[in-house]
Order: sequence, then C-alpha cells, then structure tokens
Amino acid sequence: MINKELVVIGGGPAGLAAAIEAKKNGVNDILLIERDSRLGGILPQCIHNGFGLHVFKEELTGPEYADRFIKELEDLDIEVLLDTMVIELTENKQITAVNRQNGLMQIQAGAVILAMGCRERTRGAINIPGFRPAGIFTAGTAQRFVNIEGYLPGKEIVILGSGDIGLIMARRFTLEGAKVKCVAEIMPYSNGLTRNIVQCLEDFDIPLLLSHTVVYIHGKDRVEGVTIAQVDENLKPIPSTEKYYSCDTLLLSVGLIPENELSKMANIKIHNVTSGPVVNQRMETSVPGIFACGNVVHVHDLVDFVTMEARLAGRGAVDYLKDKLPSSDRISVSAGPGISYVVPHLVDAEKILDKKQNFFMRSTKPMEKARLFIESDKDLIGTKVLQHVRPSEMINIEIKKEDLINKDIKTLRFFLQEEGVADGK
Amino acid sequence: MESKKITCIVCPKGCQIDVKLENGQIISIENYGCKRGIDYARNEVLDPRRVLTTTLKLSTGRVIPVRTKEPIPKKCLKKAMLETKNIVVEPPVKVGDVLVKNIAGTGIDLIATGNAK
Repeated sequence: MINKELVVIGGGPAGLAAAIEAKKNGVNDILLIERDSRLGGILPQCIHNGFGLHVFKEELTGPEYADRFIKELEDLDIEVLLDTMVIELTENKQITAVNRQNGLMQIQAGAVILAMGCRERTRGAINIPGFRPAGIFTAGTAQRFVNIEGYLPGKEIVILGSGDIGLIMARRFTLEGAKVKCVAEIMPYSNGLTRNIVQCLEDFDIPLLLSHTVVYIHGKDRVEGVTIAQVDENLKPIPSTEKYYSCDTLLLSVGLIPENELSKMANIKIHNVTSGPVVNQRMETSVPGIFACGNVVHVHDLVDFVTMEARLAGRGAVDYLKDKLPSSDRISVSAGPGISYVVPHLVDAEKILDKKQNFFMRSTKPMEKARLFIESDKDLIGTKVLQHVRPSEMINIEIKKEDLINKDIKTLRFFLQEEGVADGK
Repeated sequence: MESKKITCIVCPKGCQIDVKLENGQIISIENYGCKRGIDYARNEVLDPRRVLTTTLKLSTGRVIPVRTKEPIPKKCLKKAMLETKNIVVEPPVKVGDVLVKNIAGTGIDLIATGNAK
C-alpha cells in the first residue's frame, strides 16, 4: 500500500489547477493520476481560441491554456502518473489504480480530489431510428480525429445539436474543405454562445435549423443521408415537414454527462439535476475528505470557471488535511423557479475559505431581462438584475461571507423572475 | 446602395445591426443596442478579422496545433488554409514558435500553440 497525503484523479484543467493550488498552499505529498498519455484533458484538442479571458486576461487556445498549467505543475515538482486508470475508490479514500509499468497499485490517500470531467452523450442517449452505419460521431470524437490524429472523418457533414463543440467543428470541417450542410437544433434557441453562431456558422453561410431534429439515419455500411423534421412545442416531429439531406457523416453535439462511476463506488451522494456530486462551500462531497471540481460536478461552458472551482477544491483539501474535521452542512442551498441548479449545494458559513462565496447556476430558459432573488429562511439577502440570461451561459453570483454568517441561516434559495424589457419591446 | 445585417457578438444579446453602404463607405448604422455595437458593426463591415486556428503536419506523424499571432482579414482565411496544406513541420516544436512567416501575405505569422518532441 502506497500512502499519499493528496491524490488528484484526472489531469485535465480541473485536476491540474487543484493540484497546483494544494501544493502552493503547503501540501507536498501529492499524486496526480491521468488515464491518457498526456496532461490537459480535453484542452489539447480544443485548438480554437477563446480560453483564458477571466483567468489570464488574454485570449488563448486550448493547448496554450493547458500548457501554462502543465508547466507550473512541472515547476512545482508534482508527481504525475500518466496512462494510469483508477478502477476503484472507497469511502475510506483507498484507491486502486492500474498501469503497464506497475500493474495494480493500492493507494491510501489522506484526501482525494475528483476531477474526472465528463463525457459526451451519444446516439443511444437520444434514440435516433435507422441503421447503425459508420459515419456517426460525437462532435468531440471528430474533434480528436481532426485536431490530434490528423484525419478528416467525412466530406459531407450534418450536425445535430448546436452545442459549442458542434459549432466549432462546423467551422473546422469547413476550413479543412468538407461541406457542412446544416446544424439542426431541437430547441427553439441555440445552446451555443452567440460568438460561435456568428464566427462558426454565419461566417461560412452554414444554416442553423432551430426546432428541427434528425428523425432517421439512412445508409447501411456508411451514412448516406439523414431525414430532418421540424418539431412542435412538445419537441415532437411534425409530419410532412421531413426533408432529406445527403451526407456521409453525422456529428452529434447533444450534451455532456459528468463521469461519476468512481464517485458512486465511494457512495458519494449524486445530485439528480447536475448528475455530479453534491458539494459544499469548499467543494467537498458527502464523503469527508473527498473533494470534486470541474465538469465532474456540473458541466461548465467556460474553462476559466473550472479553474476557479478547482482552485477552491485544492484549498478545500488543504483546509481538510489541517484538522481532518468535516464541514458541518448548516445551510442547504436550493434552486427555485427559473433556476435549474445551484453549486455549491451546501454551505458551512463559518468555513467559507474567502471573504466571499461564489455560487454557480443555470437558468431554465432564455430571458431577455430577469431579476435574481437570493432568499434565506430568515430574510431576503439580495436581488440582482440580469440581462440576456441563457441556459447555455452559467450565472456566477458572489455573496459576502458576512451576509451568510451570524444569522443562523438554514436555507438559501435562488430564483429568477422575468421582467419586462426596458424599451417596451 | 448595399445593406448588410451584422449579428453583434459584444454581449450575449446578439443584436441584429443593419449597416448601409455606398461605394464602400458606411452611410448608416441602425438597430444597434449600445455604442459598442456601432464599433463592432463598423469593423465587421469595413475590415472583418479572425484568428485562424488550424493544424500543421508533423514529420513524425500526427499534427501540431497552430494559430495566427494576430487576427487576419476574414477574406484571407481560405487562402491561408490552402497555404498550410503541404507544410510539414520538423520537431522539436514548442508553444509560441513561429512556423510559417507572413501567412497568405497578411504580414502575420502562424505560431505553434502546442509542443512536439
């Protein structure tokens, strides 16, 4: 049995920032475990720009953003195991990992930070009828083929789902000489950032079909085409709106799921909306000493927020390792009308690590103008007017520690109320 | 007279701004939501630019990610992609190395955004 003060599982943006932050705050005996042959997680394949505006105040590409953290990790001499898969995690913080050099390893950790990220939803998750030919890829898989391996998986493309990876890949395929026929989105609004709609679709005259979905995939050995239909307000295809698009490739950009097999193994409580662990103010899960950060907790749209959250988890683990005392879950945080979820889910106000606490949340639908209410069981803590609220863009709210302490608050609830647009439209 | 519709990306609202041109000169900008939108629409009509991100082949197989050091004119994107088509890069390469000088005659260099040993 190997003993480690802190083990970080996952070497993507979350794991890197969490390990660095823990080391900087005095934990020396750290091991970072990564299943891929290199660090950076999904960032090395995200070669487009737009990363780092919050953290570095400049615009970087994914590989550059990762490179900064990887260099810092090396400078801090943090031990890393690459090509190593964690296959078991227990409530007592025992880790079983396996790789080619060492075979099976048993590690006893003082604290654990979960940073396993998320994975893409596939065809199976959305049940598209038809044959099962080659040529159906998730957008991220296609991105890996093009940007890491150097292969173009198709020449005539249809993209289902307007998530950011799908939009980015529409541009990437077009630049590489493929023809992207259209992007179909089942919702009446796009799930991607406006910036990506403009620079990835409009720049190249790629049509975005809102309230449309793929109802059939044609072709037996290879995709030959898809049938796309318009959907009604209940997202059901409308008969007689079907249209055939010939293509050799269908890309799916239909959402991401936090990867929590290990969390479940350790009996960590999972939230039913985020599909990630329930966490408190220091990113600690329901099992004391096991922390979580990044897309394993909830799916983010900006890596900068992953880094912020991971730094908090790193310092949370340092805080725990000092006295090994669990945080008491005094305040229960909940999402009211208009909000789908709030992270963290629990707060021990005494143990908030900074002068303020960040709360991350998403709206349930787009609203041009809305007022956010923050309400405790005692009183209204505050309200804030938000413009152009979108489910795809995470809301980040800071509350001062002093507003949460000394009041013996038991619950905290966030809710959104749509307001009339000021200019009367 | 020519008119263009520009989707503003300064904030998530995504205003549809109408720009009217005559002989390449802007004669009116309408339906903007704020002053920042006017500046954005003007640049988008007169000199739209983008950072090009793509990959180059490595002599060892696979590819290395690259980007233009500064945004290049949007109309040069295709020309720049064609220029990169047959370039093969010899490792080692590290982040920031200039791999192609003056891409597509823009005066702007293509730099590595990844490392290769």
